[in-house]
Amino acid sequence: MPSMSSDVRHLPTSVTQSVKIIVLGPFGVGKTTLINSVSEIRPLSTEETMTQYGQEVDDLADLPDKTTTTVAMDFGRLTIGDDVALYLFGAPGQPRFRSFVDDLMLGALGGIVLADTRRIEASFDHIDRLEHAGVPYVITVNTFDGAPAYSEDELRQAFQLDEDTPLVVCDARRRDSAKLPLISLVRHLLARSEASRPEPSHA
Amino acid sequence: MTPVRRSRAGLVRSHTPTDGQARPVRSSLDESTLLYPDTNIERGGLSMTASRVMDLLAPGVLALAEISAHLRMPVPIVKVIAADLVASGHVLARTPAPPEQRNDCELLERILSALHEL
Repeated sequence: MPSMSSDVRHLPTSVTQSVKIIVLGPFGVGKTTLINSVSEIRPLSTEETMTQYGQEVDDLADLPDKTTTTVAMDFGRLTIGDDVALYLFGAPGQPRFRSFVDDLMLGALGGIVLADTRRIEASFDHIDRLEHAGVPYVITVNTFDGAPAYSEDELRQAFQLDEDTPLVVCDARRRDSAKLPLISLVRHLLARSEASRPEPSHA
Repeated sequence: MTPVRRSRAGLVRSHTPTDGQARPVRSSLDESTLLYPDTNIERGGLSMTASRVMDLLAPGVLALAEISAHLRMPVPIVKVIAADLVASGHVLARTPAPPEQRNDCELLERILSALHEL
């Protein structure tokens, strides 16, 4: 078996915590492109095997004979300072992976919903699921060559966004642009965090 | 009744006094769970797949998803192996606290400034 350790980039032991952000959107909207643009490691992909008895898989022997579906999930990583690892997970867009994605959302700091102006409605379901899970999110329009450009007002109306939900337009292929939805999401989280703080007392 | 203990009192394994999650509860492990190897623990008795995970982890820390990707092993299987390695003391696992439990503006500010510098 070939050793793979030569291209493995380990985290230093000074890293004490990880956070995860989920990138959602329909198939082909640019999730993997966005993740790869900002990741510090080469693009990696997990192989998720889902069985109809998902929670009951107790050992290797249980896997081969059950009904299984394999889904690849692309992800990337960013080290913040020397103690935090930020992971970006691209949630598979196909509806049949819904339960898998719901699990993936657990514990996520927030979500980035990618959209393509040629099929905006294809992102609605992803927004609904984040809402349902109570995960804060930003909407990100990935610009595609030849796709119609709309004003922010038009887009906000099309997505039926309330004024608090950020909307970002980016080119997922470029790092300086692909980081914009992440910045917007973290600002959004900060604003929510500050808003939920108790009022300082004026005793 | 107090179980009879061998004269190992006073010895504390290096992974014991940690604030990290160390119970082998499967549901507490997710894709972003960080795994820290304790290379001082003897490997005897580990399965071949568990040994491959320990080989991969030997140089440092990785998230569960990275182990899945590098070893081309499905995440549910890595979770099971990782839970066993946590139980046997070979690995310490740290899963992110739920966001609602860490209203941590300082962390968010640091992430924000790192993203700006990207």
